[in-house]
Amino acid sequence: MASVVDDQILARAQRGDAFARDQLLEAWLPVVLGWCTRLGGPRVDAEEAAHDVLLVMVRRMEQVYDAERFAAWLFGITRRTIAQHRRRAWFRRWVPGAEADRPDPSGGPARLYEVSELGGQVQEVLEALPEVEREVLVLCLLEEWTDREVAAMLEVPVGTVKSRLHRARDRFIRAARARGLTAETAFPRGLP
Amino acid sequence: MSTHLPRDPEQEARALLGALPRPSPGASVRVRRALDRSLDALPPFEVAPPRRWPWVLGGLGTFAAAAAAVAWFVAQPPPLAPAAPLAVALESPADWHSEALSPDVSLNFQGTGAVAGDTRAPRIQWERGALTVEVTPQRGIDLVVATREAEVRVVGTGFTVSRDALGTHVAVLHGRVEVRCGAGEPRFLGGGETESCLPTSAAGLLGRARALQAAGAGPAAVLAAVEDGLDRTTSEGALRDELRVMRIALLGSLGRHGEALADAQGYLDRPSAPRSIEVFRMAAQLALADGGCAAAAPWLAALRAHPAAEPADAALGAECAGPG
Repeated sequence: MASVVDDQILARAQRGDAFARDQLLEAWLPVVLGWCTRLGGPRVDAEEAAHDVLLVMVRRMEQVYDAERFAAWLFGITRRTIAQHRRRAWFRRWVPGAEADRPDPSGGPARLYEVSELGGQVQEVLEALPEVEREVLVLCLLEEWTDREVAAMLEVPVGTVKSRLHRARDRFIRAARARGLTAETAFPRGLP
Repeated sequence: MSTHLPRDPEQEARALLGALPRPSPGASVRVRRALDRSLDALPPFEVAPPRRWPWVLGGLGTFAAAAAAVAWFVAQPPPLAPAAPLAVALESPADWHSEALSPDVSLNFQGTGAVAGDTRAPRIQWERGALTVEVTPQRGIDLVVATREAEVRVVGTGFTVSRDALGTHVAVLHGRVEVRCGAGEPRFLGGGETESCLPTSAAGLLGRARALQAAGAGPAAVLAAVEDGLDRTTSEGALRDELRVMRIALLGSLGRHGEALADAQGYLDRPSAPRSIEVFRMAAQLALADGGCAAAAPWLAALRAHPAAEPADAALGAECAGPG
């Protein structure tokens, strides 16, 4: 998984080098798509959100002055984009005649998320958490960014990341168990 | 692989989060394609008249913007024809043959395969030989070439796929393709880049091992394919027997006589093990080379007593027969 940006590749991409830009896209597209899928929730079209994030990335990458800040900068764009898409989805729910902001099922099974029943339930539990706790759970426990990297992405001190993670993890497990979801029920034959 | 269920909260949370939905197959390609379209559709320049002569440059700017818009519309490719279903057999094992699936997709091949899907989303199942594909970029064509080991998805380009016993090999001529080997992560290839997908089944890996041997590859490379194949089959049968016998021979070639003899012993412990005479021969030769007559004696005795023993087997280790 991409976590470090080569400063030479970034510099070349900022100067308009198409190949360098493609290298950045190849490395970060899956990361951004994962963020949008996991943090966007069921009402956000993750592909559409990821497209919007990456479009901003390509058009505004001259704003990144330090390659070490790239992941944090990109995550900031992703957060704002997801928030926009969530607002749009909320709005469409309540406006008569507006299209439901869900992945188009006419695209076929391949266009829908690979959502198992368990996965859908876990997502609902995650969605019920505050946004800041949702983010820290996904980034720290699922994507295994370091505390320092997550602190840079969320623009908070490392200590705050740790305390949020502790709180989020406990709240998540309690909420999951209240719905009968545990590691045993998730993996009755043991961990895959 | 551990199946221990988590006892601490962090492991439990990780286990549950692992069940979260993942991006659907092909999502990366769709996002990239949409992004390329958006970037191509950006206006070529923006007009911002300076303050000193606003009315002159404002007029020029408006004219320039209008001209750019007209040029952009004119430059757009003609609209796509409606998608037509495809069902084409690709059969030309001896000579190169060309086939145009549509104005935007053309094939050049020497081998066998089949085309399904439609002209906007062709699906090519490629069995054997070499296939070159040319796709007009940015026409919304979603073309996939699949072999048993690999799936190659077009992101607007020309590329070659060839499949033989050694695996599937992809070479990009120009543009970009996405290649996925088996169930692995997709990799994007640009012009001039190549990727090889190795067989993933035990039978495929046995074929690869034989092809490597035929091509004169070193025993270490062949052994790697054999051991990969053995890892992918646990049930006893002709395939596993073939791989095990090859492994014994290759270990011997690599000077790993102890392992080869242990493998041979394990193989022959089964009653009626197929190709047992070959394994006895190999073991007897290895034992002679490794430990001399004393170590080879039981193997030589078993070999000579084997119902399928040949006259040459009696001569093996003849120097070990002492006086009297």
